[in-house]
Amino acid sequence: MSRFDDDGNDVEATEDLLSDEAIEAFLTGRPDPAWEQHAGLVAADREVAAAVGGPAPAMGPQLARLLAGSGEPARRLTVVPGTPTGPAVVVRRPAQDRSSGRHRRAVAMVVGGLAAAASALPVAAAAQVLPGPVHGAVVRVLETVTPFDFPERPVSVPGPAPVAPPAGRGDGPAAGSGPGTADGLPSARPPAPVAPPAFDTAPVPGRRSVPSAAVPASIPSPATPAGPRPAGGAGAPAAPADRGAGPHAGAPARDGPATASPAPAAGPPATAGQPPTPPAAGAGARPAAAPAPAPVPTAFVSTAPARPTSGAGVARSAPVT
Amino acid sequence: MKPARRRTPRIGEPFAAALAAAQGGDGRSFEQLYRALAPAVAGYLRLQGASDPDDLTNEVFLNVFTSIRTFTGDEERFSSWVFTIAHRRLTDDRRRRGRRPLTADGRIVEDAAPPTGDAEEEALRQLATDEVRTLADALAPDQRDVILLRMVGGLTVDEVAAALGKSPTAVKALQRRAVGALRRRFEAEEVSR
Repeated sequence: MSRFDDDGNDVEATEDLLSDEAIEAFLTGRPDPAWEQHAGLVAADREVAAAVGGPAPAMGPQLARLLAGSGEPARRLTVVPGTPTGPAVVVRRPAQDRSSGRHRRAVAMVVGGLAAAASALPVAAAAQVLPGPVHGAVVRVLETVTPFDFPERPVSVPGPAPVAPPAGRGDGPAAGSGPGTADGLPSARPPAPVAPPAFDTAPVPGRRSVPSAAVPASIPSPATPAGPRPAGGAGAPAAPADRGAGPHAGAPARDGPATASPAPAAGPPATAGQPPTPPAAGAGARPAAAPAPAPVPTAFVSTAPARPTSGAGVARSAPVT
Repeated sequence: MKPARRRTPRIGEPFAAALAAAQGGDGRSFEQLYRALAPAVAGYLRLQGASDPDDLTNEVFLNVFTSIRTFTGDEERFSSWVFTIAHRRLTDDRRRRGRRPLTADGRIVEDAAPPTGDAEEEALRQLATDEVRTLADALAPDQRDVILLRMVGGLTVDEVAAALGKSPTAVKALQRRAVGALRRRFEAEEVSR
């Protein structure tokens, strides 16, 4: 290898002129006669110092914006390293990223909870699992805004529990088509309505009734012995004796149409061997001009045939021992 | 031993307070650091032949701004850290330029130093820049990197070795040859004048 470069300079001799310490002093800009005696190095030091001096370059708009609104720089910026095809990119993240994320999640949870509650309310109302006042309010609202009828909450009656099965749909004149009277004849009296109906039985045009699964088919009571229930259609079961003859006797179901003529019990006669069952009143079967029924003791259970008095108390078929 | 005469301006005593405030998000303190170091960084990038030294300087300080919380050390170490970032951004810039179409004569038009308002000073700086760039272009790329990082950035041998991914021994060998080449070139230039 030649000790001369392309220009004919003695490379080895030139490099040997400077010790490591002199080179270090030159590179760090520290004054040292070891390198300052070389005019070339002095000129290089001067030119380099001149080249890197001067004012700072104008601050870019992005950096200026960051400095103007700097708060927590490390959290507000994300630097995407440069690639061979593009420069490094600084992505500014909003300072409220985390808090806004939490806020959005909280709002989403609240909205979801409200939606779930709103969708569960009709179901709960139909199942009658809501507390009384809430149930009433919900049913009113739902009946207002939907074409459905919702069952009212069953009224708990003190004393002997009524054997009031669902009065069924308000069938009007067709109601009371259950079994006949104890003597097997169609009852001439108007069917005794069952006081407070379990359903809103009044047919409202354009509305569909929502059956309640929570309404019991039969409620055993001291006055109602266990056994096969009398067959009958809608409204066929016997009405409670303590309510059928009261002042409410003959009252139609809520919103039921009042009819002047009582609907005869068109059902078949009671099965032999079974106690006769007086006809039950369908909703809306109240005779408008019916005379006031005689009050019947509430604890009294009669096995006698039903009195022909319209709106008389319902004869309980259970034998009294 | 004589104190080192750094080529890059220094903040001095208030550096620690300025750094702490900048790390706490104080924009004015960061701007103080920027004013002190940005000229040297831009000069380094210009001497290295960056395509847009001012824009690249802003990119460097955006990186510094986002990472300043992680830095610990004195002013000299801070300067070395900033120049290390500058060298990495320069490497990215060189890669980008390698994919750019060149001008008809095979060169990329590069920006001059920012105007200072003093025409004579600007002219002298531009001459110095051209002079150093011409001489630096005569060096091998590795030698140019070592010389400029050491002379302009003020990095130590170990810091340059870390920045370039070389051993300290290799860096010392590179700087020795580079200094010899500079001396010969400048002496030849002085004689020719």
